[in-house]
Amino acid sequence: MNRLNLKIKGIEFNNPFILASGVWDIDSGIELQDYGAVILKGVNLKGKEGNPPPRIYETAGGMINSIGLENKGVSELIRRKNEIMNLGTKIFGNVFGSSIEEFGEVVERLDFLDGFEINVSCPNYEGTFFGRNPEIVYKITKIVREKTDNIVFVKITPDTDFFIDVSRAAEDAGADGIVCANTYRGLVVDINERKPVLGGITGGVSGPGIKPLTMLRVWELSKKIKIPIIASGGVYRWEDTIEYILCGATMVEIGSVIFRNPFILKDIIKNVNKFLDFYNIDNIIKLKGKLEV
Amino acid sequence: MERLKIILKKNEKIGKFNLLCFEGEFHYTPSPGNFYMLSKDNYEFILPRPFSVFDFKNGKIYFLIKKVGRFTDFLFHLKPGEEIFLNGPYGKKIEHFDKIIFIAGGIGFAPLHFHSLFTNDFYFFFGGTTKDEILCHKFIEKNIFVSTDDGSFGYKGDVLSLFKSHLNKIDFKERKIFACGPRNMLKELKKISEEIKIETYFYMEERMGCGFGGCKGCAIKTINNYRLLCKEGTVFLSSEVIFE
Repeated sequence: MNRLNLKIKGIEFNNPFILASGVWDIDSGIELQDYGAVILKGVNLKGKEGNPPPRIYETAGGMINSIGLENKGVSELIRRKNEIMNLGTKIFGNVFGSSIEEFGEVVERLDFLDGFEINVSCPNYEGTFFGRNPEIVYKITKIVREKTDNIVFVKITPDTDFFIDVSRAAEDAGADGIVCANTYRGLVVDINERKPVLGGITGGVSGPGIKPLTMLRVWELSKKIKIPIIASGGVYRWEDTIEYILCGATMVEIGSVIFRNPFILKDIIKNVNKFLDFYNIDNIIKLKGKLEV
Repeated sequence: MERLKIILKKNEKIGKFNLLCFEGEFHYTPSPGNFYMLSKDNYEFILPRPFSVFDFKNGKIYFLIKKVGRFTDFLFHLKPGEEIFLNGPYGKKIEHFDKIIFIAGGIGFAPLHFHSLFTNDFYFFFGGTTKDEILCHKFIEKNIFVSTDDGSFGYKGDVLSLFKSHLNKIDFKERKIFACGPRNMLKELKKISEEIKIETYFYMEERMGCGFGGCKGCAIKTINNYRLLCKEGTVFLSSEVIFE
C-alpha cells in the first residue's frame, strides 16, 4: 500500500518529496526515480555565467550561496531532452528571466517537461525584486499560464512581508501551487580582509537554521490560499517533512541535505512510512494542515 | 559513488599534520585525481568537506590533514573507533603515470603522494615553511628534493627556487609537471612552466558544496569561463587556469 501518493491538478505523484532545484544536475549520478518529482537547475533563455567564487560558505546552522544561476540556456535542455525525459520521474523546469516575456518564452520552449517552478525569488538575481511585487508576479504567472497546460508552481521569496499578497496574485493568475520559499538574502564577512566572503557579495541563506522561519510562512500562507503549498527550506531529517505537512504543505522539497547524504530520500521514505504506520494513517495527506493550535 | 560509514583506526601526528587511517566497506577504489567528501551527520557541520586521498590500501583509506578550520580541528581530535561518513569517489581520474615531476607545497603533498604511488619514473619536489611541514618526505623513497622557507630542513627557500635550481641536473624535457599547493605557488609555477615549455597540471582547491556537480559552488575561473572543480577537475591544465 502506498501511503504517500497524492494528486495535484489530476496528476498523480508517487510521494510528496521533490528534489529541489540547484542541488543536483543531470550528470550528478544521484538516484532520482524515487522522488515524487525533481526540479532542474534554473534556466533562462540565453544562459548565465554565474557569480565569481567563492560561491558557497557554511554558516551556523546552514549555508549561504551565491551561485548566480549559472546555466547554459534553454537550448541546452532542448538538446538533452531525451536524456532528461528518461530520468525516471516527473521533471520540472525552474524558470527565471529578466523580463516578463522571457518567462513565457522559456516555458513555451520547454513544454515537454511535466511542469514548471517559476523562480521569481532567487536572491542572487533581480528575481527577488520581481517576487516582491504582486502585480509583476501576477503578470509573469499569467503569461506562463497561457503558454502551458502543465503544472505551474510559483516559488516565492520569504524576504517580504507581502508574501501572502504575492502568493494570492500567483493563485489568481492560475498557478497550481506555491513553493514556499526560496532562500533568505544574507551577508557574511571576512574580518581580516574586511570584505564579504562571497564573490557575489550577498547570497541566499538555507539549511536547517532557516526551517522555523519558513515553517511559519508555510503555516500562515496555508490559511490564505487554496492551491497546494510546496514547502522548501531546511529539510535535514525525515521529521521535518511531517512538520511542514502538519503546517499545511502538500509537498516538500529536499535540497542541500543531499550534499552530505545523496541517499537521504530512502531514509525519509522509510521513516515517514513507519511514522504513518505507528499512528495508523493510511495516507500522508491526512496530516495536511493538522497542526493543532 | 558510494556513501559509507568509516571508522577511525589511527590518528597519527606527523609534524604539523595528522595522518588519519579509516576502515570501511569500500565498493569503489579511488584513483589519483579523485577526492572524497567527509561529513558528520549533525547540525554542527552542515556541509561535507572535500579531501584528497593520501593512500588507499587493504580496505583502508588515509587522509593527510592540516588544521585550517572547525572540521579539520574536529578530525585532529577524532579518536580510534569513532565514525564519520564518506561520499565518493568524486572528481576526474588522472591518466598520466609516467615521467612526472611532482611539485608540492605544504599540505599539497597529500594528492601528489597518492599519484606518485602509481608512477614509476618521477622526481618529487616538496616545500614547506619549516621542518614541521616536511616530515612527510619519509613516505617517498627516491628522487625526493625538499625545501623549507627557514632552512630548518633541506634547501633554504621556496620549492619553486629548489625546482629551478635542479633544472640543469634532471631530465625534464619529456616530462609533465603535476603540482599542488598554495595559489601563489601555482601562479608562479604557471609562468615558469610556460618559460621552460613543459606541460603542467594543477590539483586545484576551492570551497565546495556537494562534490557531484550539483550545487555549482566550486567554480574556478579558466580561459573557458567558469569550470567546476568537483566535476571537471580537480586537476586542470595550468594554461587553462586564470589566477587573479
